[in-house]
Amino acid sequence: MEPGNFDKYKTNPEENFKVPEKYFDTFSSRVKDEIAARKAAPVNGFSWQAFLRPVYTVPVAIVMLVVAGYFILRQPAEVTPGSELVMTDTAVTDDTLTEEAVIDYLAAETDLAELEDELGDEILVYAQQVADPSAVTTLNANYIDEGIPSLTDEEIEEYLLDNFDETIIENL
Amino acid sequence: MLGKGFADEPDTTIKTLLEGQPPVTDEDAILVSQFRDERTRSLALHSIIKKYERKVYWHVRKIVIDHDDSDDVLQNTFIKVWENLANFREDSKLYTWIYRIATNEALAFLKKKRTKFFLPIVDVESELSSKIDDSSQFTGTEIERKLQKALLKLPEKQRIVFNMKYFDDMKYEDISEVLGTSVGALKASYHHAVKKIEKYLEAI
Repeated sequence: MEPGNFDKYKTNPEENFKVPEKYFDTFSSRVKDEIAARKAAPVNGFSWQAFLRPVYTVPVAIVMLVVAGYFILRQPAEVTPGSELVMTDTAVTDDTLTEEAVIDYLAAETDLAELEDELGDEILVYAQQVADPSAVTTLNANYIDEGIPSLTDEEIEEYLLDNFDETIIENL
Repeated sequence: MLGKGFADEPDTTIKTLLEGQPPVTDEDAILVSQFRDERTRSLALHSIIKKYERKVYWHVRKIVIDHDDSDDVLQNTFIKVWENLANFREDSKLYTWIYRIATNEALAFLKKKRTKFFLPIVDVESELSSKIDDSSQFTGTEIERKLQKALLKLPEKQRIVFNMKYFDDMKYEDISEVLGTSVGALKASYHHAVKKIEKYLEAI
């Protein structure tokens, strides 16, 4: 059967479906009333409930997890025992703080005896040398007296004779 | 006839109000132009409703079958027209644009009904079929009742294509604008619909 061959069934739906009388007479005014009611209705105010919808809650939850994870998992910067000293050294090497200024300060304001526990001997020696060159001799003398014996000319000569290697001369 | 009530002319008051504006030849284009003017919006909407209410009503009624449901869908359709007509781009005909809104509203209505009552498709179909049997809704002959029931066996979009082509005698190009489907696909859909209906009618 070709399309349309069942035209015997074809009727106007208006004749088959019931519609209330004067339905179309009032329809237009009912639509306009509905539109007017919508216009007059107050605009919905701000409501926190709107943010409970999944479209908001899922991204907000993700952001909160990321932020919380950052603070929980973040490793605090390690404070090493020498870090403060490093900063001090940086300050010392600053262009505005010259070596002479530091030395002057140490010489004038610092009791060297109090710094012995904190600063190395070399710095103290250097500071003393600058502040009072005569003190260096004393310090070196004390240093030798305490640990290292001084060698006489005889002792040096004896050492050389005992350890002299003649091949060195031959190779020259 | 289907064309009844479509010949209402735009209100002459509106034409008077729009004097001095650029001339628009197409009647629908005039109505759209009038709608965009705040002063003539209400009258233009009235004219549009009067021009298309019957045609759109029957289009919707053949989809949702029940009168009260059709009334709800039709109201929503024209409220959406009111909300969106100012932004109508006029790259399609006004009536196909309104048909499109009505079709979407009708399909959304059936979908909502299905979701609301957790009804599978077959139950919606049987519910609509029962309304065909209801003499307060349908008064056609037995043959006409059979055809309407056969139509309810079709998938919703195929049923809409069949209604628009067979009963409303719309051009495929216009149906294509309404449904956003190619003309070729519509022809195939209509052909399949006819075959299914023939098969169903032969079986009973």
